[in-house]
Amino acid sequence: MNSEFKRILILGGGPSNIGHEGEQDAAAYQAIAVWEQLGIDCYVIDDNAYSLLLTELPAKQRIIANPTTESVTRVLKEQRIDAITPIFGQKNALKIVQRLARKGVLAELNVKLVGLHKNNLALFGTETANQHANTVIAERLINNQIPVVSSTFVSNFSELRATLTKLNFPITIKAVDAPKNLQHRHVFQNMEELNNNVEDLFQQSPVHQLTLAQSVGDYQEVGIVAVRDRHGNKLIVSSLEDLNPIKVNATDSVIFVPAQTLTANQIQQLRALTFRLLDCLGIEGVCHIQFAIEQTTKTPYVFKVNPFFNSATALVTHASGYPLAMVVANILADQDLDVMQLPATYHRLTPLLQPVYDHITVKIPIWSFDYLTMANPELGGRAKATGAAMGIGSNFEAAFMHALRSSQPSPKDVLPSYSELSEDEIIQQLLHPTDKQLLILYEAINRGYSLPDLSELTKINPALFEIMKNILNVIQFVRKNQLRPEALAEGNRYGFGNGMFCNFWNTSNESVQNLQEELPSPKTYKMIEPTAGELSERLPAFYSTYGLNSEVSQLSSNSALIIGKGRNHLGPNTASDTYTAEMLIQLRKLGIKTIILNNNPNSVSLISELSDRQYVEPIQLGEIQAIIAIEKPAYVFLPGNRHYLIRALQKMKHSFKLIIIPPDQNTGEWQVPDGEVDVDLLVTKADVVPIATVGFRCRTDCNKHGLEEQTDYYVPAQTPELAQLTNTAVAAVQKTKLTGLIQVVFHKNSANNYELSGITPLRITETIFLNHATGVNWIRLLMQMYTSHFDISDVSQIINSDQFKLHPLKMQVVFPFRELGISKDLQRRNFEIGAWLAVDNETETF
Amino acid sequence: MEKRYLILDDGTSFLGEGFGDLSNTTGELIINTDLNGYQEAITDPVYHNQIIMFTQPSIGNIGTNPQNYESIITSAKGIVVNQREDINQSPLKAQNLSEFLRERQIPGIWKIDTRALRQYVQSHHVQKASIVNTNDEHAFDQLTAAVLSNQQIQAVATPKPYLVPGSGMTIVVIDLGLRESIIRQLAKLNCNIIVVPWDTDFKGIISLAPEGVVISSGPGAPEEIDNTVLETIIKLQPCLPLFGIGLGHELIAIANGATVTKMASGVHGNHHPIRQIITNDILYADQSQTYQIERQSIDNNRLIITFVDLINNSIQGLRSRDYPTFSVQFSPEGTSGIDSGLDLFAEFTESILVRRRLNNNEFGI
Repeated sequence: MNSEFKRILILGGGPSNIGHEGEQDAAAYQAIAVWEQLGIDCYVIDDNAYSLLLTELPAKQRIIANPTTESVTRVLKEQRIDAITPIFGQKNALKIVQRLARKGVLAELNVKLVGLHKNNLALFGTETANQHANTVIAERLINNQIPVVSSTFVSNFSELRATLTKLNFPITIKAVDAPKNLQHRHVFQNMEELNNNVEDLFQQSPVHQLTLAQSVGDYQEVGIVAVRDRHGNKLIVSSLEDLNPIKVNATDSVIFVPAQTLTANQIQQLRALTFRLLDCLGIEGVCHIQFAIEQTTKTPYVFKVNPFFNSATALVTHASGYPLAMVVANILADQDLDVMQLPATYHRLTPLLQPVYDHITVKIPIWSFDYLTMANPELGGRAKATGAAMGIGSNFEAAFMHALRSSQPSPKDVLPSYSELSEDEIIQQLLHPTDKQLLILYEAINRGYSLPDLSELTKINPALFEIMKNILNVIQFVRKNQLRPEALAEGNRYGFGNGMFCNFWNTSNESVQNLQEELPSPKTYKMIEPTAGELSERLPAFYSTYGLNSEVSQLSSNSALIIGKGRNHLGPNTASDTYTAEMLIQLRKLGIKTIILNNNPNSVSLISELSDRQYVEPIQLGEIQAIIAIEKPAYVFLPGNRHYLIRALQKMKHSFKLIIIPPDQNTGEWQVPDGEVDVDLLVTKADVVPIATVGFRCRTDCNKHGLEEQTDYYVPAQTPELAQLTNTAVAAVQKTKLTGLIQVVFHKNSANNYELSGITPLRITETIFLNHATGVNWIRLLMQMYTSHFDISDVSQIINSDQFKLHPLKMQVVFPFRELGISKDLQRRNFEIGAWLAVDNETETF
Repeated sequence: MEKRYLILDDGTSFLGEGFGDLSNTTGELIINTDLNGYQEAITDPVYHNQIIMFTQPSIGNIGTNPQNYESIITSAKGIVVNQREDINQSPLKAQNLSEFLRERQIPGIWKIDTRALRQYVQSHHVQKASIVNTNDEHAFDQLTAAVLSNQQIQAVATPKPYLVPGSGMTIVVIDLGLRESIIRQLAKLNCNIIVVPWDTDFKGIISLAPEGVVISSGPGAPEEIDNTVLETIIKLQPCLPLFGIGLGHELIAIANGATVTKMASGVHGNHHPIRQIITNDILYADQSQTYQIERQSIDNNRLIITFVDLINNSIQGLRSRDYPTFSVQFSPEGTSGIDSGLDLFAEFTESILVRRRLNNNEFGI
């Protein structure tokens, strides 16, 4: 099997941020595995510090740089690349390939564009002003009888009036080419509102132009993810239905997979439109189409076409078990759906079988307004969520509860209550939904609001309120039937957690656990696969339900259960997800079977290639205990910030080794919370090996020395006293009982001398930076230490080898301040959402 | 909470709860894998005498709606599902699922581990099932003794001819238990449609002066059907364009010398890739198939295979070498796939137009 290209360059998506976690990195990782099998060399250009590709690809195939027209052109030439793909790098990547195509660079270098047909490139994205590109795509679709939400350009009042006769209020208006801060759509409910503002809007546009469109804010949002190969074979992978209407960004909306309130006819119509769209746009690979469905006539309009991997494609991959990235990688390498070869765990025809499920998946967004209290939590057109959690269940209610429990911060699995809110506050929250939307809806239903009224207020399909009402009824039933097996069984059926029962019954986890063990139908696990049990697939992902038979048994006596991080809020979350992925890779290399528990659909660590078994479940005590009971793992790895879980698992009479993933917040010794430079060391009971010295910098104000404000990292550190600091660090570490990767932090005292600030396990973000800076995978050595596979002489050999050197590198934290519309003076480590890397050739002047 | 059992003819039983009608029921157990649309299946005459198990986990989310009928008379004998919802969100104040089933006397059972049930049914030879209050010996005896009616077509097909007027060509539809969507598709093409009872003979059809004949889908085993239909097909095919669907397709195959057998596990859904041989394209269509045409029984001098299901390799389409006859196993209404333009009804009427032109030339008009 030969593809038309031998060396492909993948444009990375940059550091994680709002609406962008590890999902593209995950898809690219899966695609690369396929391409390598087909004999294709894969190169990546990215500056995402936490990209798994930047760690896992061979050194010469990873280019640490911000993808720009210039940097990409350079790589294309230097590496003699013959293909390029933008589908793992969001809009920025599309923009770059558009420019390269327009400038003739791709033609000149004979580089094949993969993932989008070159004739269609101009249709997508942002090369010209967004609205112009959208007009071109709209015309193409309209010519193919595909209804779209299209906009009209007007340059003066008479054109405006003429256009208005064709539209109904509410309408949206946008000033063309307006400055960035004014670039949003304004919604007008009537003529008066419009008249009051239209002059200003014309003023905002330097070309004195407006675009007008029907407002579809109240329309229902439904997505379709589909694939198409070069022959033109195509299939629908899944439908997705948003809880909220279009006016709330899909990133900020609860999503159901597959759609739950559409009739067969509606789905048939969307399917036909999708197929026509794929053909007329010549899509090859994956496409996510967003439809706006008018509420009364149910007419669907296309309002966004995303021909690349994104969070929707990630969600349907996890929801269906359909190997989307693998299939798309094959398509792009000229393997059609009916001939491509997947690993033997899949049925030969899985790529062609339109997925059908016997389970439901619900995604709930995660916001970080509890950390960023100054941000406006109201949900709207602009995405604000920092993460997502999914729940899978064998009925709608259970899927919903699994997702809800996974989305909440309570360590004990208790859902917050809003019963103290006044009627006014409830109504306000219903009209202007915030991150509290779901729980407010529960409260409103609980207070007996009429469901049609609620639907009118929120534009949410009343069927979804009925589902919530069922859950509330079961909560009532459980509350009334203290410690009754039938109440427990009913709660189990609807996805309740042990912590919830403890809370309802005011009892201990042990008593609930004991009652669970007496139930006739215990927790069972079902495979997440795309054929609803028709073909015998042997896929490694599972969710729990209470059914007749379980489809899992102990994987191996030598296994490790890794508890994932789950919900991504602010902080080093994508970093810890990549770290988890790296742990899985390294443990597997040590011959240990790996099992992951996680529920973040955008995470890299949950993809099926990285571990031997995946559980998509709430990360709560009851779930963990149930998995441990089946798997009897040799090791359990737990994130260092889950104090309640750590204590509970430590108390369990267990046969496994419990390992706390750094930083274990209960260890470490601090004298002064300041820092300017650190020494990173590998410490065992017998040995201390200094690795590197890393410099810190505060970005806003160089006079700030608080460690929390040091959000830039660089190597080599610029200090004349390196040797002395290293000696001090080694001596200091020897006085503690800490082992593993340890960081000794120094600050300058008033006499301008370096002084010890503290000793602590190296943070996850800094471990990944250390990997990049040294070219050594320290996570591998840590895993060896934890699992008694460690040999100190290996480390000495690495450190003393001629090849060991520090690469000049800097890492800067990324904050979501612009995205959330808040001030920039909060540059502290715990507000980070990602980080970018740069090869630092000018450290001196940095 | 009404405890009820789904019992299988091999002696297994599954505990669940009743909804809809609470009487006892017996039927052939089939598995439907549609992701959306339960009401269409419940009202599809093809499911006459059958108990439908849905793999989609929650049904009832969108209530019921008169627009979703495939026929006015409901045919299914029972419904098996994991989760049922009693939601009525239709503006027309239509019924919720439980009310709908109760009114039509269809028993439902829910809280069944449908995935486990499917896996069991696929690996054991299960034919019949009952939904009952007690799973005692008596219930199993009754299930074993139950003989499912072989008069299914008589039960669901129209007893009298009727006209769906249109300004276009006259098409006769032989009703073996048709889905309303067949009529909708022909009506879209302005056909003047005459639906006739299943046992209308050759003369009766010719006397209506049609330009083409559709032999509809329907329930049950093709080999149990009265020979009248086969004789009609044999006499019709040299005279008029024929288009067979589902059961109609199976009968056309038999009329041309092929044999039909019951499948180990049927296909009821729209997710299987089907290859159109001539174009090599792949499409997806609604399938509700329990019987398949034996590949070796096909006389290649008489029939050409036009469509094949890639998952189970079953024959999905045939064309006669000698006559203007073609047929498909799947439902051609609402087919979508590689060529969204694939419209077999249009192809059928097109073939009639071609014939009309040829005939006209022949007579020099």
